[in-house]
Amino acid sequence: MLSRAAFATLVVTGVASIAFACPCACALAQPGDSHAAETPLAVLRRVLTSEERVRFAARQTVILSDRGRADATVTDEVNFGFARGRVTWLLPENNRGRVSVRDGRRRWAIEPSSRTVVESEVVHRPITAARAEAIARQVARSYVLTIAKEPSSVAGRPALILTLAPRRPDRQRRMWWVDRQTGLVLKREVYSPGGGLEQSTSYSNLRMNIPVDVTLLKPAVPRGYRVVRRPADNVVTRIESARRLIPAFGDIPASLGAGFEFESARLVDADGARSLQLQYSDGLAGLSLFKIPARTRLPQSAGRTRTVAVGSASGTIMESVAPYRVLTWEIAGATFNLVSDVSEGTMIAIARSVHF
Amino acid sequence: MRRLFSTRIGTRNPIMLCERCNSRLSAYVDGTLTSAELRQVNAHLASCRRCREDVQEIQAIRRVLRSMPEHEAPAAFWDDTLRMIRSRARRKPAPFAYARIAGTAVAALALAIILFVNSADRQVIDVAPAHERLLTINPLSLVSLHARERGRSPLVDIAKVRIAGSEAEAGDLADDGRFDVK
Repeated sequence: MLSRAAFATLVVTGVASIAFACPCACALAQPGDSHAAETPLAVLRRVLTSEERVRFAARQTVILSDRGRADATVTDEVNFGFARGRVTWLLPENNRGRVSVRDGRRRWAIEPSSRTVVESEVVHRPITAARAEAIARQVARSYVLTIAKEPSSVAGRPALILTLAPRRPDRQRRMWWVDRQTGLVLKREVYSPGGGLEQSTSYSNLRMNIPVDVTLLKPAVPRGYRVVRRPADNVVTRIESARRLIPAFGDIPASLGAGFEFESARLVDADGARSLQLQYSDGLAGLSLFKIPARTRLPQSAGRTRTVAVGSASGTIMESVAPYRVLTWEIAGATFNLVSDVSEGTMIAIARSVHF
Repeated sequence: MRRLFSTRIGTRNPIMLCERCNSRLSAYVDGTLTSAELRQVNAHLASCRRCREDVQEIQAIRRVLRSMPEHEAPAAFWDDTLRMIRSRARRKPAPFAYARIAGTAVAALALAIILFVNSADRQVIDVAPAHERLLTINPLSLVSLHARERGRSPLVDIAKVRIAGSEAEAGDLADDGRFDVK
């Protein structure tokens, strides 16, 4: 039998060994291994909180595939976090020289094709831990999150592959390559409900933790450019506030069904008519619902349109700017518009359920 | 009764609770609080994210309200109202009509007072009645507005939104952008 003193010595030695071994094991492991046991939801939370905080410079290549056509866009990006950064377009040729600058309070879009600079105020809403948690849970309600077991890397950086598979068959499936160290999404792939690759976005020439260079956040307006100033987007993000503020638009729905929950509301001026823009999201996919208190028509430049049935009303679908569609229909002298990149069937189903 | 103030353990500084702070946020945004109230609200806001968000909401609402144009009632409205009043005045009053009119007047006055008192916080956007004319709406404007709003959402594929949004905005500008935020 062990004496009481020997037993105590053994316990102390054991505890000391564990205390010593744990940090050693952690130190010996690869940097990314500290996140090896992370749940998919924890990775998503990390993506959310790191999204606006990581400072980096990189080249981004986006390939969008739409109806048998693929377009590539290449940009040089500098991100200083907290809605501060600069994006310069290199490709396609017709967009070369387009620049977008955000300094945390304002955004400038320099558009060479129209020789215009659009200056708009930006209201930045930071991601707090509580907000990250709420968004992550909303995503988890609409998507099944899994982490691939195989190790991966992008641009020489170790990455986790997070798959976000939709719970509804009409949504896109997403794969994100998440930087193990920072939580930044280094590469994204988006697959259509039919399984085809619709979009690929990836960074190259990555430089992390770059110092903030304020000279990059001061855009120079080129000589001869027209400057269009836009006021701050007065966005209301609580449904109670939206209902109280704009009751004349009817009882704003908290949900449009199919997992789309209220995200924000704001008033817009539609050719002189005060109109309502509501934003709904399932956490990843989003749509805007516009209510215009008037009958509307399309300009001749609207392009190709198709007529679809929205309940008993007749609607028009426009493939305006890929991948977005616009669905327009009228009810009792008011015009409703849905804008989204979700499937046409989902848009029509949502449109049928809109009654306010 | 719920306490509106609590005391931080070990200090004598009163900590304002959300309930109390919230009732003063409107005055806070208007800049009409006393210096003591201002100190308390500022102290609370420093530690309460939810109330800070409330302040942002109120500021956003104020900006929207300030941006709203004032609308004149159409001339026909006054003509119709006067005609209706005159035609009713010509009718023979029914028994108890005067009492009913007096009652209605008191009720209307009370309603007017309530509306006036609440107007600061409850001013609502007076949406113009449906326009008679047919409005021309460019779908590119809608896509541009959608992209601007989506660009604010976390987890959004910002590259895709930026590409489509810029394209739509360029088209919208070429069309003179008759659709914009208020």
